[in-house]
Formats: sequence, structure tokens, C-alpha cells
Amino acid sequence: MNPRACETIEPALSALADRELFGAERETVVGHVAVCETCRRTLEDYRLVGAALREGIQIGSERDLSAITWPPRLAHAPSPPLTRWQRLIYDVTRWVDPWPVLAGAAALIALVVGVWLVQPAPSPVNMVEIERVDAEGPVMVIPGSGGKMTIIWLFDADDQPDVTPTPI
Amino acid sequence: MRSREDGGEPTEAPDDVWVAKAQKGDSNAFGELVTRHRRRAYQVALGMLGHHDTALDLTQEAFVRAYQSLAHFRGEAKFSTWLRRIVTNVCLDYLRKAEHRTPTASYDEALGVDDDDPDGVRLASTLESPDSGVWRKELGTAIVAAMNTLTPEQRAALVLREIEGLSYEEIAKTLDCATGTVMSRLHYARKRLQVLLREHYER
Repeated sequence: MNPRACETIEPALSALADRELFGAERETVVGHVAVCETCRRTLEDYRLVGAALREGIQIGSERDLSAITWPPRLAHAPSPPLTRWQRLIYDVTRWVDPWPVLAGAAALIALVVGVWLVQPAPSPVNMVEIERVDAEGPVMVIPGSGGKMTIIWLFDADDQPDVTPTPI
Repeated sequence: MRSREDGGEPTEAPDDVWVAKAQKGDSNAFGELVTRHRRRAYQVALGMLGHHDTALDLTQEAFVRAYQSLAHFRGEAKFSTWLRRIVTNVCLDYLRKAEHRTPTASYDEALGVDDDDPDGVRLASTLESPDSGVWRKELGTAIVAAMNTLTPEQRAALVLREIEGLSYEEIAKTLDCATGTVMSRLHYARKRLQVLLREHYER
């Protein structure tokens, strides 16, 4: 038999074995198989493989399957009915390894907090310079009489905006 | 009401009666559905995974998912058809994840072909019945190893065809692909198994 003919027919052999080939295509393949020993053997191999697989599964499934039960006995499976959040948490933890996710979330939180902590103080725009003092902290609040208070905000001279001091 | 375990003699109430009860929150009714369909569902899982314990776990997982999605089941298809699709997708998810995790040894892990777990019951050993002999055992091992080389999608198509006996159209609906794709996957899967198992049949 011409090997090129077999190459053409071969993709359809599986469908022929499954009785999923129809019309003219089926007639062509059946006609070829009738005269081709190689393709007949291929069909027989497909049949044997399928039979062995079915037999293996059949024997395998004769085992005790009482472990598959309801409600599930799996430790990780919550008992139904599930709320929306229970289902979401269960799905996430069942199919996604939680530790990398938790580590990523922790890193993100640390990054946000870190950025917030190290951000520079806002520049004192539209502020009035009263006087310059030495102090430990950046801000001093001095209560005054009548509910008034004086706030002294310290900042580096380099960051000082171009404002003209207003005399008191 | 008498229950049965999938595929047995007819029972008094059809699936849709139990489904309706389960949809109203009757957990025992869903338990009846589990008892009826677990063997069939397990067969699909075992065929796709090749490992008893993994197949048990994922079958149980599929029932959990089915219960969670029961409100969306409208009865347009049979419950068994709907469940089969869930089982197949759960197994495909697992295999794809395993494949992604260890590209060169994914199915060995899934099937337990080479591990040392003495309690793992494999598809290979299922062919080792008392009267089957050494040849059958070797064939079982070879089938597992050969299935190991298929893609998850090829494996699913083969199991749905050989174990479930579905038509190409039904397989296409289950796997959400075209009929031509099913034909192609089955062709390549069988060709691959034929090449890898040839020596066992030529003895």
C-alpha cells in the first residue's frame, strides 16, 4: 500500500473506530482499510488500547468509594451551605497556595506603610515666618490665652519656599 | 426512598427530584445524588489522573463544587451530564496546574508512577487482577506511563470517549471545544498510545 495514502487516511482512522465518520469520507476510509494491512492493524491497536483502559478503570472503580460522601469529610472543605465569603475563601485556598499570596500582601502593606513613613513633610506654602528657633521636633504648639495657640513649624532652609517674611 | 449507586437498577425517584430538594437546601438530598453518581464520577477522575487517592480527592472536590453551583443548574441537561463536566474541569485544572508546576514530571506526580508511596493505588495495579498475570500488569504500567505523555486535553477526550462512551459532539460540549478539535485530540492521543504500547501487543 502506498504510504502516502496511509498518511492521508490515518487521521480519520480514530473517527472510523468511533463510528464518527460519515458519507463519502467514511466510504473512502473503509475502502482503504479493506486493502491496507497497516491501517487495519492500527485500528486493532486502537481497539486494544481502549479495551485495556476500560478494563483498568472498571477494576479500579470496584474499590470502596465511601470516602466520597456528603457532607464532605475533608478537613479543608467547609460544610454547606456556604456564604459568599466562605465560598470565595474556600476556592482561593483550595486552588491557590495561600502562603505566597499572604507574603505578597504583607510585602505590599509594608511598602505602603514605608512610603507613608518616609514621605517628606509638605512644604510650608503660604506660611508666615515669625522667627527661627532651635528645637528637637519639627512642630511646636504653644497654647495661648483666649483659645489661641502658636504653632512653630520647622523645616530645612533648602526646602523653604520663596515667600517673603511678613513682619508682625 | 431506596437509593442506588450509579448505574444500578432503576430507583423510584429520578435525579431531578433530588436536585430540586437539594436546591431548596436539603443536604441529605444532595447526599443521595453523591451516592448515586460517585462511582461514575470517580471513573472519569481515575482515567484522567491514574491515581486512586488523587481521584478520590478530586471527585469529592467536584461534588463540593457541584453543590456550590447547584443554584445555577437549570435542568437543561441531565444532572449526570452536568456533573461529568464539573469532574472533567476539576481534573483538567489539577493536571494543568501540576503540568505548570513541574513541566517535565507533571503526570508522574499526578499518577504516582515513580514515587515510593506504598499506599498509592495506581491505574497500573488495577490491571493486576488475580487471573491477569504478569503481562497484564506490565500492560497496565505501560498504559499509565503512556497516558503520562498526553496533554490534559487529550487525556480528557480519550477518557470521555473510551470510559464514558460519549459521542464527539458530547465530548465537544463537555470540553467546550469544536468537534474537529475532539477528533484531532483523539487521533493524536491514540497514535501516541499505539506507538508507546506497540511492543506490548506484539508479544
